[in-house]
Amino acid sequence: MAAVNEAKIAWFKKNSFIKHIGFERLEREGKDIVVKLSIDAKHLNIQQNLHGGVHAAMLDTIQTVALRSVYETGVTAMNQNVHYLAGTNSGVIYATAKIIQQGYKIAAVESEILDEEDRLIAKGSGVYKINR
Amino acid sequence: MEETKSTISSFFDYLGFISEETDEPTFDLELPLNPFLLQDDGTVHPGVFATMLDIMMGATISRQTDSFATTISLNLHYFDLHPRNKYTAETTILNREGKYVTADGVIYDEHQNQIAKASGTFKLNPIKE
Repeated sequence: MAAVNEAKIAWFKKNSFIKHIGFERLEREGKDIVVKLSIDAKHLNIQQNLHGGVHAAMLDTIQTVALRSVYETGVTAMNQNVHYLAGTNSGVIYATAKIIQQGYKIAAVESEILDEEDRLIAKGSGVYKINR
Repeated sequence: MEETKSTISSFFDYLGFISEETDEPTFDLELPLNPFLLQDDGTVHPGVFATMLDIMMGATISRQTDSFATTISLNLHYFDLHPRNKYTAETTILNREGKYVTADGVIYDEHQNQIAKASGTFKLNPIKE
């Protein structure tokens, strides 16, 4: 398991929204940083599927995690695209992200959400302003 | 005005929104400034606005088509993440082609400043009686 710099992830623990939704931050051996969510009833919509706002929030969160781990400063979302590819309503889902453009003031990131069977649930991308 | 809390989704209620229907195609949203909506820098998490837009666009489409609206894609723009006391969401249906609807949605604050904007594609599933 890679050593985690506690100072780098302090913001994640202080983020009330992330805590309220139930997102957890993991580091998987040999892989990128991951955000995990255990789905329960409060995350569902009227059709008893995972609410689209949860996917969007999770993709934004992992994109922010990826950027803040590199830039070590705050970032602000300017634009986000989300493609909803498969429905889900239980179990655990995982989000990962990859920085595709790393500028001085602006960066672009892509991300995806997979379930426990590695089924692709959603895919996203975003453009962020680097706060400096 | 008819209060629609608890009729939209459990996730919407879990975030603490209270929705009041107005003349179509708008909804007024009360968003009590619960600390859990905020990030470590004091701004609103973008996921809150994504949720608002997804719900309001889906609810408007549902009301106009008597169908559930399943989101296929969303393209979101965030203009101002600083917290406000009240938001209004307005949806415009841009196109309907069979089971698929394209719409856009805008969130305004109480001074009619644009806070966030989205366009999305939704699939219709008729509501069975």
